[in-house]
Amino acid sequence: MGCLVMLLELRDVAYRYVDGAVALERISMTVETGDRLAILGANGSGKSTLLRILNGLIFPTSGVALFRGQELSERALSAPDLKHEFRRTVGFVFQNADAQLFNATVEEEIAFGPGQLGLSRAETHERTHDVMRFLGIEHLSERPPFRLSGGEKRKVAIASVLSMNPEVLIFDEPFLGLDPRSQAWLVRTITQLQSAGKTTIVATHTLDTLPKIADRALVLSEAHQVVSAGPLSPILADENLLRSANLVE
Amino acid sequence: MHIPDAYLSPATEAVAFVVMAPIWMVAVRKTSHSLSSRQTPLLSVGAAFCFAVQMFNIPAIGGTSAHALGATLLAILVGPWAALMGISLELAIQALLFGDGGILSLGANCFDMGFVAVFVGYGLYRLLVGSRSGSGMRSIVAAGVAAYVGTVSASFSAGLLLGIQPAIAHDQAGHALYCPFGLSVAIPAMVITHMLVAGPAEAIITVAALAYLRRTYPELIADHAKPHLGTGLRLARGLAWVLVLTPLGLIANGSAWGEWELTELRRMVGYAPAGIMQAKPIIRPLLPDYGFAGSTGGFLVGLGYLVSAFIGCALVAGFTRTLLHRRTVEPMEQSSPGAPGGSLPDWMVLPNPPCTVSSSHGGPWLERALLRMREKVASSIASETVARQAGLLQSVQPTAKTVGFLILLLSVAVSRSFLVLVLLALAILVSSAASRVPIADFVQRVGATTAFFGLIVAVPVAFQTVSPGSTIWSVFGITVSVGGVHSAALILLRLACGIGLAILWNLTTPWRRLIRSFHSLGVPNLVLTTATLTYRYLFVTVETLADMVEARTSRQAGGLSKREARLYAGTGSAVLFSKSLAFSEELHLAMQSRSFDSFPKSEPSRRLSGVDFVFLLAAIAALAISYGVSGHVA
Repeated sequence: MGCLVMLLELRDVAYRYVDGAVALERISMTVETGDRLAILGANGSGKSTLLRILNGLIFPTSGVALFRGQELSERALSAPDLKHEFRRTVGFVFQNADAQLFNATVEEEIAFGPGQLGLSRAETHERTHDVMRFLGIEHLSERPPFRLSGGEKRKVAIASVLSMNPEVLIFDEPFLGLDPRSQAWLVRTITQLQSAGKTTIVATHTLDTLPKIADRALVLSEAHQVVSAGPLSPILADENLLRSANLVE
Repeated sequence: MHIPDAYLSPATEAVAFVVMAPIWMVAVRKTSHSLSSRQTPLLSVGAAFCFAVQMFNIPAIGGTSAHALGATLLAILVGPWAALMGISLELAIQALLFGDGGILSLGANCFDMGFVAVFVGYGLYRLLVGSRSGSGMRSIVAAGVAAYVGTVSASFSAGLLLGIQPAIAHDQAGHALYCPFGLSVAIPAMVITHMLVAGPAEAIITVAALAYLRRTYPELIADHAKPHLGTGLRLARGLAWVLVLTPLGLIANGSAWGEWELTELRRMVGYAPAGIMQAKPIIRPLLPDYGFAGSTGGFLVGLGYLVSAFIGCALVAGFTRTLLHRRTVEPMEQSSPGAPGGSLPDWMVLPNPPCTVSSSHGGPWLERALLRMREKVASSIASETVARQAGLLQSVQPTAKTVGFLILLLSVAVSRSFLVLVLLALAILVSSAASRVPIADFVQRVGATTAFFGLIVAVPVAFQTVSPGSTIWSVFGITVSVGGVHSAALILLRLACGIGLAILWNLTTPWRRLIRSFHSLGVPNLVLTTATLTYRYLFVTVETLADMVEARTSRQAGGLSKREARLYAGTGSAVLFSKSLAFSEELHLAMQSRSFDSFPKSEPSRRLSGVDFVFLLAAIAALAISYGVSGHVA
């Protein structure tokens, strides 16, 4: 095998639910540092499941998921060292912001991650406020996260991940439910993060904003398999491919 | 604290229902007056929240299990009668849908976890708060104390019900037929685990949820004062009530029960069960964790309870401090709302500095319990697909089915004969097959639930120390007796039959039909509407909880320190409640917009036909055979 160790790698991964329903089939992919990757697929094609595997929240039914060459399994991630390294390296913004927020106030929500990294209270406080300032949500700091508007929730969810300063940022349908101005803001924010050297993986089925935030894409079919992978522009130009994956009418 | 069917004698279960019937009637009357339509979802969310809280339990060896209840919190939010109703509904759903706690023992479970927990908890809360309900801190601490005492009282009541079983139900040889442990084992097993684990958990949940709800939903709580940490003295004074109230009562009871058990019982009942006589001195060392278990003096036993209560209180006090003591946030210059500040902070461009990994606590247990529950909920949803297929039991008219299944459960409960129970088990399997229930899954589910509830009680029963009789084999001083194996097998078989019936009933009956059958048996509409809402919120609550755990896993780089774990358990439950509430408000609006006010009046049930009569006759025959063969008649 090659001597290059990938940041994240899936080898022939399949995932089945407890009742036997297939969510993913024969998925192989790699993520390198600095990648700007898009994962495309219609509703129910398995994007969220794939991202959950890449974030070590669920584990493949068959095949392996690797992080810097080490297998991501339930057992491996229970070892404190790997868990710590993995969680501080890979951040995940959930599709449902409501589901992601579990703390009592916005400030606690954002401070949770830095607290996990073992930063001092002063550093945690500084980071929390830096992130809130960066995203323009300082006025929300004392509010309970689940009583915010949809757009505000999304910002808090992103802030709660950014405060951990992960190298890889995974976004699950980040544009869903955002108004046009918030969408434009999110595109700017993602490009800012990319120019700071972050690796990004964005799952989506809205294609118009894609060229600004991705240069490589992986297309999932409705049969939960990879039908195409490679540079973004040829994929976006291939009408037949997009139609077969149910991404255009 | 859920007592399954096989652990209580039918007589005890009947008495519990007789006691609960007027209480339930009062509860329904009171709540139908006081519950505005907006409060109905609140009550249902509360009941669903109690369900979520109760799924995190630990086994209490010699008793059943220990877990928090959520009873006092619910009583403070919706009033004691509505809380009693909510918890009763939640327990009914657990028994009918998940096989947790028995259907015939529902009365007993509602008495312990509903009536005792709610009224002791709420009564003490009102007593402690008094007329000075203006002080926020005082009422929150009072709620914590009341929740603690309420939970421990409920566990005492459950221990009592379990502990009197060997005395009132046993065969000629003195072998227990239902719960095999006497008062000297059942009460300490229940009370001490609740003093040390479940009681503090209940207090933490109550305190955290109330403190948080005051900030996020002030409209829910009449007293609008914001909580702030008073002096430590005030806290200590509030907690001192626990030390005074709980253990003093138990010291008095502790020695009294101890005496009662051997000499008084012999006098009152006419003999002392051999099992208890043997078990008393030997079983105690089996429970080395229970502090002063080996001592026999009433004073030392009392001291044991006192120490347990003290440790429990210390845990609560420690937590209340960490929760309520929030550092004040210094005012900061504010950007205009919603405007992004633009530039990336410097540290975000650099990699994270290296740091040490903190040690890990707790985590996995919570997650495992949650996953178990999520699977159960999923399989319950899946069961509706089986219920909608054509099959033998699906074709029985719902009301006839409800009556028939209750009779069958009764015949399992009264049965003392292996043969009858084996025949019943076979009949359950045959009718599952005829109802096109996936047999392998069914057997596995029944087996797993039986093992969860049964092994902890049944295995010790097989030992010589608990059940005297001729020895089967003996290794390292552990001796298994013939009578013991007989008792253990009987208890497990009866448990499996009861659980099998409950699951089969649930699998072959869609929720709507079940509700309709209860309606035609005279259960009031308000109760059924609330039950239906609770059933819906249950899935929402468990899913919300699962989401929260996943979200935390995703960002949890280190382990949790003990302090963080406590804080997480407390605020987590408060946030769960608030989140479910926020969601329930939306859901209720959505239901209203589709003009929902009570559960839809479904088409009238069809008239009874041949298959219904056959089913009912079979059930009655099973009861008659079971009663006759078991020697009740002679």
